[in-house]
Amino acid sequence: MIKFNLVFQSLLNRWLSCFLIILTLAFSISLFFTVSRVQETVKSSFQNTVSGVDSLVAARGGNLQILLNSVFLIGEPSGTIKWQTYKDITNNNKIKWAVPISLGDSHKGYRVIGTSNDYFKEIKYSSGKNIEFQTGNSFSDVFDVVLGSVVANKLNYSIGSSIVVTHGLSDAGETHTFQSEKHEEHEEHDDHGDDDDHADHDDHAKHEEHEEHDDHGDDDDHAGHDHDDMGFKVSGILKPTGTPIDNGVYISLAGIEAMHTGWIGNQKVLDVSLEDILESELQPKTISAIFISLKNRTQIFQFQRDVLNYKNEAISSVMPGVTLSRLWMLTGNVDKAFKFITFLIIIIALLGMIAMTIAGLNSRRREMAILRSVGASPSNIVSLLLVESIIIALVSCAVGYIIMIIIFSLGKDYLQNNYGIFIDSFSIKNYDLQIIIAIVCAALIATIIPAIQVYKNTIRDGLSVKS
Amino acid sequence: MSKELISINGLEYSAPQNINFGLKINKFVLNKSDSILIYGESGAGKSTFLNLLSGTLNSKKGNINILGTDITKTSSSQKDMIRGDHFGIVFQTFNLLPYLTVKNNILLGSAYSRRKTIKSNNEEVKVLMDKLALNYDDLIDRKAYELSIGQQQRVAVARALIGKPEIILADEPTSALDKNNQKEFINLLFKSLDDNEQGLIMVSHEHKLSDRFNIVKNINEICEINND
Repeated sequence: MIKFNLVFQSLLNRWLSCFLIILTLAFSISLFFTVSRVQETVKSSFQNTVSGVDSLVAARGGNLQILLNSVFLIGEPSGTIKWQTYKDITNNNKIKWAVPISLGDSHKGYRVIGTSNDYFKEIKYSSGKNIEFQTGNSFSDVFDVVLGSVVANKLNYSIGSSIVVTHGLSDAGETHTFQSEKHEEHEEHDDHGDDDDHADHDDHAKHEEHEEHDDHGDDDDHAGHDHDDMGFKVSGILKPTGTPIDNGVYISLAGIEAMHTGWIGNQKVLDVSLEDILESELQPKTISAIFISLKNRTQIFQFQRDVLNYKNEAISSVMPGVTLSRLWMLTGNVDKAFKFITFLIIIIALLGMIAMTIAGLNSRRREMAILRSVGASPSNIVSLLLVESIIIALVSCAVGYIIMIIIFSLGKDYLQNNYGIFIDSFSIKNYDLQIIIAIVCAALIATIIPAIQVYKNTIRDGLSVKS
Repeated sequence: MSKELISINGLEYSAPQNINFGLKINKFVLNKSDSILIYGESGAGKSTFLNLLSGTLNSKKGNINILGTDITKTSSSQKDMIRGDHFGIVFQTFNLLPYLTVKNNILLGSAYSRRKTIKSNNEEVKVLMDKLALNYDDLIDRKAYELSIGQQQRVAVARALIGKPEIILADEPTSALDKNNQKEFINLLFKSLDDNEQGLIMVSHEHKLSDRFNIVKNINEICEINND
C-alpha cells in the first residue's frame, strides 16, 4: 500500500509534466479510438443498409456512384431511367420483387425518396430485419409522406404534420437563399396569382408538353426550390434502424410526379392547380433506380446479362455486396493510412513520456538513494518506474476514452445528418482492450531506456548521492 | 546468539574502472549496545565504508559478517534484503521524500522488509515520535517539505528505527543543524535506541559530539586508504 502511495505521490509531485504527458497520450489515444469506431461503424452500417437486395438497376454509370446514391443517399444522383424500362425489367421472370425509387429532391437537407409502399415491405436492413413503423402507416394518398426516425426527431414532426418538399438537393440553410429568389420569381409570374390558379386551363396542354422534360434527377440540379404550394402530410414515422433509412423522407412516386408537374428542372413554368394534378394521371415518367431481389440468387449473373442486353436504354445492374467490398478496399487503405498516422502520434507521445522520465531522473537520484537505504533493490526501483508508466498509460487511456465520447457527442448530429453514421461510443469494444493493452505494453517498452539509466545510477550511487 | 552485529576481517576494496581509490580494513567490530563515532576529513573513506557495510558496494577480498551472514558471499538482492531487515540509515540531509506525509516517510523504513513490517504499526510510529520529541497529532499528516530541518532529521531517525533494526548507520546527521539542535538531536537519538539490542555507527567530520559515544575512532584507525 505504501509502495503504491509512493508511486502515486511521486507522480502527483510532478503533476504538471505528468498532466501534459497524459494529455498528449490521451489525445492520440482518443484519435485512435475515434478512427476505429468510425471505421467499424461505417463498415457495419454500410453492410447493414442493404440486406436482401441482389441487384440495383440504374442508368449506366459508375457502380459506386449508383450504390452511394441510391442506398446511402450520398452524392449527386446519376441519370434516370424511363418508367417503361422499369416495366420491362420487372417482367423478367427471375425477379422476386422490385422496388423503384426516385431521387433528387430534399426536405430541409434530408433526401426525399420517391418509392412505392413495397419499399417498407421488401427492403431489409441488418441482415434481414424488416422496416417497421413507429407510428402511422405507409402512403395511402398522393401527398402522404413517411419519415425516417432521424428526420422526424430532428425536425420535430409527428403524424399529420405538414411539410414542404424542396426541389433539388439543397441544405436547409441554402433553401432560405433560394426562397428569396423564388419570391422574385413569383412576382414575375404575378399574373398567375394563387387566386387565379383554378382558371389556368389554357396552360394545361403546355404542362403536358413540359412533362416530357421533367428530369428531376438532373445531375446539374444543385439548387433547391420549395414546391410550397404542394403540402405533404406525414402519414407514418419509421422506427430507428441505425442506417441511412432513418435519414430519408419517403413519398410515393405519384407524389413526386405531382410535385414536379408544372416544372422544368429548376424553373417553375406554370402553376397547376391541385385538382388538375389529382385529375391528371400521376404515372412517373422516369425513376432513379430499382432495388431488385431475385427468386434465386445464383441467377444474378444471368440477370446482369439480361440487364446489359436491354436494348431501349443504357442501364446497368450493380451487385451491392460486391460493390461494397470494393468500396471497402478503397476506403480501407485510407483508413490504414489514418491509423498509421495515429499510431505515429501515439509513438511521439510515448517519446515525450520517456523524455519526461529521463529529465526527472537526475533530480530523483536522492529519492532513489533513500529507497535503497531502506532495502529497495535496483530492480525494486526500476519496478516503481514501470508502475509509474502503467499508471500514466492507463490514465491516458481513460482520459482518451472520455475525449472520444466528447468528440462523438459533439459530432454525432453532424455524422448522422451528413453521412448517416450512427456511432455507439459508450460501449467498450474488443479492439479497445487491444489498444489499451498495446499502449500499456508500449509504455513499458518505452520505459526500458530510463529504467536502464536508473538501474545504473542506483548501482553507482549506492547510498551516497552528491547532490 | 553472539553480541557481534558486524565484524569485518581483512577487507579490501578498490573502486571500479578508472578511479584510483582503494581501501583496506583489517579488523572492525560492532557489538550490541555499542555506539561508535568515526570521524575524519572528507575523502578519508567514510562514505565508502558505510556503503560497504550496507552492501551497496562490493569488496574485492575479505569478509563482512552481518549478524552471522557473510555478505561478501551473497547476491546483491540478498544484500538489499539484509539492509532492509537489519539496518536503519540516516543521511546528512534530504532524508525524506518531500511529497510523502511524516507517517508515510516513517513507514517507508519498513516498506521493503517483511521483518520490519511485522514489528511496525501506528502505535510504534507514535512511540518513536514521542521519544524524538515530534508532536504526533501536529505532524503525522504533514508533508515532509513542510517541516523544519531539525524536525526532518528526527523523522529520518524515526524512519531508521522503525521495525527495530539491529544496526543504525548515521552519516553526519547533525551537519545541517545548529549547535543547540545538534546536541538535542544526539540526545534524542540515544534516548530512542534500545541499548540491549541495537548498535550505532555514526560518521562525522569532527568529534566534538563524542561524549555520548562509548567508542570514538578516527577513520584512519580503521581504514587504510590507497590512492595510487
